[in-house]
Amino acid sequence: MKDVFIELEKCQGCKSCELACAVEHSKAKTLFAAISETPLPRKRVFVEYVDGKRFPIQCRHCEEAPCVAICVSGALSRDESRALVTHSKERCIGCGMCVMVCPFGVITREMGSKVITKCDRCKDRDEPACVESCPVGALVFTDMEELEKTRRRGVIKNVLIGGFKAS
Amino acid sequence: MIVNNQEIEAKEDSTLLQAASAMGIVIPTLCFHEALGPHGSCRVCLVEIVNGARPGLVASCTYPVEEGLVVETNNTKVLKTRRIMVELLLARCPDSTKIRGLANDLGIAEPRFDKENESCILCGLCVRVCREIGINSVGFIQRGTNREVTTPFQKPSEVCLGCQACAFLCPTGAIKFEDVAEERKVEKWKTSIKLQRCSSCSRPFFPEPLQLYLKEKELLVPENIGLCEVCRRKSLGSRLASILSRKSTV
Ligand code: SF4
Ligand code: SF4
Ligand code: SF4
Ligand code: FES
Repeated sequence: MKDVFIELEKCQGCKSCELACAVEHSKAKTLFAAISETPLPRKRVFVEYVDGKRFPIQCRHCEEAPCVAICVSGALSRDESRALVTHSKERCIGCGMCVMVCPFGVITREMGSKVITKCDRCKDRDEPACVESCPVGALVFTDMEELEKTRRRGVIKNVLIGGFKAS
Repeated sequence: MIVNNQEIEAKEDSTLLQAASAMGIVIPTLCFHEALGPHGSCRVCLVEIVNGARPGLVASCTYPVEEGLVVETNNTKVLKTRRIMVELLLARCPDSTKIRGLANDLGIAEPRFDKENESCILCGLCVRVCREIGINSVGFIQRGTNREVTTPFQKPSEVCLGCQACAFLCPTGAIKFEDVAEERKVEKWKTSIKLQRCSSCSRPFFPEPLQLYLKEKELLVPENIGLCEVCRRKSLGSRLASILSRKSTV
């Protein structure tokens, strides 16, 4: 099963992923048209500083996701066949409880949007937009087996894998 | 069933609205929400049963599908009645953007009825969402023209979590929350809720009753309590080792 892995050492903080994500979730899907849309399309990936280094973070699609556990409406659920935590705009009641419980802080909510926003791993494309846009390959879309192979070759050093564990 | 002259197979136990939207037919709704189910109060989703046990206009969000039903969602009679329903709502809430939009789609510029300057259409979404969360902070009082949604005894709510779901769902924007310093105020419910500040950036963000509610459900990671979502991302470095299921380092 493929996952988005984050290489902690590579990110340069250019925020290409943030931009690509917002554009992918716009109506027109082009940067030119996206910037004049109302509401403005929103990003689902965030470039943050960690231990003095930049790195991108988006939903980890946790196996035991606290956001799924708290969601009373059933809007958030885990699609085991694709190992994804999915969100239904139609079912969401906008209570924002998931925003409060996500250990990674990657769900956002804004008044006016009615619902929350989170990574859907780009449901309309094969390779997620953030991965494709990263100029230095800090985001990698691959499976564990492939990752191990690359790692043995010494190309990859420090990778973020998987999501939340309940202690 | 036959919907708009098209023969369809609908799932048993579904409603006319569900069957129609499965076919890609759009029926406007106001008081319906997927997670909260039908309510049948706004009557905007009217359709006509042309042939069936009880022919006539029905609310498609509540009406169950039946074998052999012939339904029309867009004929003159439906549109005429829907227009009147929306016109009445527009007269009640002339300032609601959502109802203005709906009226516009139906070709209504100004209502012919006296304007009321109300903001609530009594769709009950706020009441139902609060019940769904298990809080029941607001409800309907009285009947007829004096009917309104409010807190028990019209006093500040003692149970409101401050989650704002009611405001998110309200189709007319009648419920407005405002955060002023460490208070989250909601005039419609005459209620004010204490907000806890983020322990890192000191932004007031966490309604105290909501925090208690989430603590009881044991879904707050100890390292997270007191951190707003932005600071939760920013402080990941120090927390990664303890919250991540797998981290790989060579
Ligand atoms: S990272 Fe946050 S949003 Fe994603 S599955 Fe885990 S708890 Fe849910
Ligand atoms: S805001 Fe939506 S997705 Fe999040 S917990 Fe509430 S209903 Fe579920
Ligand atoms: S996978 Fe898609 S939705 Fe998720 S962060 Fe990347 S670009 Fe955004
Ligand atoms: S949506 Fe069916 S009555 Fe309101």
